[in-house]
Amino acid sequence: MNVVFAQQTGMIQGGEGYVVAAYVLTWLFFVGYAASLVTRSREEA
Amino acid sequence: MADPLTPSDLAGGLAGTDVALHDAGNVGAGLRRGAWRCAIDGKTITAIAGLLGLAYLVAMAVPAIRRALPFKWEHPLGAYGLLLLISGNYLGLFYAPGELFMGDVGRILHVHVPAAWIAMLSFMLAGIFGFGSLWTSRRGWDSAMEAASEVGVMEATLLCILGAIWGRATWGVWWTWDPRLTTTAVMLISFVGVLLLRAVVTDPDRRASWSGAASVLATVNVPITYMSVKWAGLHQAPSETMNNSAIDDALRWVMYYNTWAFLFLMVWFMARRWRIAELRAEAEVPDALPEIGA
Repeated sequence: MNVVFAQQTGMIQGGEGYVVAAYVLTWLFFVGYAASLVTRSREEA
Repeated sequence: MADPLTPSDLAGGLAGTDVALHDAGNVGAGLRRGAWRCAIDGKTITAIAGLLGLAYLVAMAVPAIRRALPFKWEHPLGAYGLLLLISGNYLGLFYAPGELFMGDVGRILHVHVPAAWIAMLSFMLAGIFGFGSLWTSRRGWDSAMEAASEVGVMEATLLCILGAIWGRATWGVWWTWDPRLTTTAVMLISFVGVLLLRAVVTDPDRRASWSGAASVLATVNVPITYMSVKWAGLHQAPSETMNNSAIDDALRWVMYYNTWAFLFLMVWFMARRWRIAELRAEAEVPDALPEIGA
């Protein structure tokens, strides 16, 4: 994951890998937690 | 194949107030450059998206509390939140323009900021429910406190990981002992402690009172965490306040759109977790003694 910090342009260049990682992790957290809730609901019912 | 849209096309389309939703007779090519225009701007779309969910919540509130609904009221809201999350993430990744200084890395803020707000909201609710449990000694409050604490821990963990990713991309470090980061870590660890306390105390009454008091104490740190960005540190000063915003409208509405998604999913998570806590509490209640003479 290459990030060039504000080189000449005044704007960080690159960093797409970090962005993808952030969104993928968000989905993993939400899907994982939802799955755990469904599993626990079935166990308790 | 339609030409790819550039951020300026999209910003122009969203800001446009003069054109209809799409050209009549040109529906199939709706995504072609310049053909698609939105009759309402992004702020209005976000406001409508939020109000729809809030209106559903208000409509369901009283019958849900009275348990007078023949269906699980949270499922439609969860499905709606999921729909908003899919579309909101698409907007954040592909639709919103890059941030002025952060470029594409700024897109992380469309999930990082909602995670921060919703984590703090969950912990505030946990404190309120904990206080309600202490005040009334009713089981429903205790179950709600457990649910809000767990959802808050999940959201705050996500928040810290997203913040670390964003920090690495912008500051060059995964973590630093900045006031905002430190108070956030303390907030998260405090509520992990509340959940651990609940796990080790077996007596239901003691568990409710001890963890209720602990959740109220842990909640004291939430406003401190919120205010901590005003203290000297690496984290930027607040961009959004009640009276002012430093965020361009083209980015701001996408962030709020994702916040609605996080909020409605939070409600679904809490409602589901509350039902689990209620089932567990019912299972803990000893069987009634047999009737005399039975």
